Amino acid sequence: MTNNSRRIVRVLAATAISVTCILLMKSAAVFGFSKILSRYSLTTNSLEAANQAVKLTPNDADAHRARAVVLNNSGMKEDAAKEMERAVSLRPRDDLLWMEVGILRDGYGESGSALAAFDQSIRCAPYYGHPRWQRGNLLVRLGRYDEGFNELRLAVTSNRDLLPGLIDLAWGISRGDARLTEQLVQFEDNRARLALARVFAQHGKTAEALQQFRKISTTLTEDARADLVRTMIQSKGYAEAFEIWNAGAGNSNTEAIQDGGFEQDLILDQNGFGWHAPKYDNVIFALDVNGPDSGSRSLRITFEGYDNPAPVLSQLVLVKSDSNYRVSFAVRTRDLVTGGLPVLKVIDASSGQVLGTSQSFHSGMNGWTPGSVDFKTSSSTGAVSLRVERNACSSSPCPIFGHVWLDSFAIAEVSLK
Amino acid sequence: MTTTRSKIKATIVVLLVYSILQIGVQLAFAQPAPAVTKVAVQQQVVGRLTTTNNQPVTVNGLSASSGAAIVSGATIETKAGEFATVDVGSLGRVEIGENTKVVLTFDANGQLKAAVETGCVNLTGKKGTTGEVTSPSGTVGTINPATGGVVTMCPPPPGPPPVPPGEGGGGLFGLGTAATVAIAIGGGLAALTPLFFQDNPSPS
Repeated sequence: MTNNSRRIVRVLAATAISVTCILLMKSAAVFGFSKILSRYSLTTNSLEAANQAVKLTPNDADAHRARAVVLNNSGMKEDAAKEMERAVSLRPRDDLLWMEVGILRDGYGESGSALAAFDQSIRCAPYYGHPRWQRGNLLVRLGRYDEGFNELRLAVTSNRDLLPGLIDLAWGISRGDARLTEQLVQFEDNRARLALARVFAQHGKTAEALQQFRKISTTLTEDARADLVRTMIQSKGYAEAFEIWNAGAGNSNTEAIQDGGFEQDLILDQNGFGWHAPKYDNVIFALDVNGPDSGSRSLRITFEGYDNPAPVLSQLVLVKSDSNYRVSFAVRTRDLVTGGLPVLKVIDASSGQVLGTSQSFHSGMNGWTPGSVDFKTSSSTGAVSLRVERNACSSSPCPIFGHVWLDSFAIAEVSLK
Repeated sequence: MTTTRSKIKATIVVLLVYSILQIGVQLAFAQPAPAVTKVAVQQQVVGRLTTTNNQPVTVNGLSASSGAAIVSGATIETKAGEFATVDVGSLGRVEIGENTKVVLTFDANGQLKAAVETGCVNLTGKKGTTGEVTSPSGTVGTINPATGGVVTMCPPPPGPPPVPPGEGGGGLFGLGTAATVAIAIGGGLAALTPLFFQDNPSPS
């Protein structure tokens, strides 16, 4: 080969490589620009942009998908479904595209062909939950409840995150029937039991919620237990809430008032049936070992200018309905200065009605003074709230300064005189 | 020659037998269709949720997107930029605007009610449907079942309208100048990204 020939070959090769590179660059630029247009069309719902994306890359399934979404958002549901079918024809093994075809067909009332699309989506991704979830929802809407819930359960088997949705739909379809909900859900593991308990409790079916809780074979996390107890209390299922709270670690006390002598460690932010005290900067709680009324400790509350009518300390206590009770306690004070003295109030937890109020904790109680509140529960009372709060002030602001000690809380049923 | 044919025939027979056995084995391993459990559930009207761009909205505190079954009594919440429609078949439909919380109730007797806590809805009742939209302050409007109609609480909440072809107001492909500039900047930044981020971002 002569030098000239070699040179020609080199030039031809370089030209071919350059042309190939230019073509590849153009192709990449067109593809990239089509992607930008597709995204833009989805963001702004611009049909023109979606059309241009399809025109630039007619064999790109994503461009057709974007156009289908825009058409659907613009109310052209049938056209949208056809466009999505074009997208899936370019990528026939894409389960998500088949699912979207099903959703769009379903959107304009083509239930039969929507089911076929969902079937295809399930075939493409048999272990994914979402195609089955969509198919199950469609079957439920068609009134084919048995098939629908069967499909939904299969979806949940694949993706346990869908369990709350299954329970919610079962609850709605059963019209608030806990037993039917359980039959429709069918899962019997601990996670499902807890989720069912939570839903039942949210809807006031506290007895059914407790049944589910009792079937849970593992120890609940404290957060899950606290959440369930809180929901039960909100639904006024006090006895059921107490059983769940009491089953928790460290809550073995079955006495009506929990830690009435303040002998245990001070935990004032717990949910449930122990002492509860909201945090305020100018109210300080401490266990005092000096001269308790009973046991080895009492509770000291130090007020440093607290100016709020809200309770500083409370506890929920189970009681029987239509019964007479006496709450007894011991109190002493020091340097108490305020226009609104603290008292102990007993309040019906269900109705919020004040059932009884103690004598005010005044500044003259320098030694331990016994206090008590007699009250009668109503036919609907299941629990009462013991609250240390302040009497109303005649003027505002109305801060309180000084110390209050509390000890020896107890509750007893008393007979009518 | 005869020997070669015999060999070919034998091979074909072996392959056929093998193929048939394979089919049999595959069928034997196939998962049986799960038995459908029969539970007595009363037939009822169930709505269908559609959301804009298939973005999820909240139904009874849980995330739900297009295709979800909506049962009477459901609470539907949308956030900013979220729009939803609940199609209640023969009764009508409820379009839900962004930042809205609404409780939908409906039944087979033609009742369709949207109790709006916050936000905007557009209730369309078909003929034979007694439609009602309420707000915390009372009834906003009702629909006469004899005629059907629409009750709107605050303006209808459509998604961003499509730009009609040929009315784009200039720019690239008639998308408008602002859109063209946005796309150009986006594309330019995407193209320049390798110049600015040359370090290997993957963890060592």
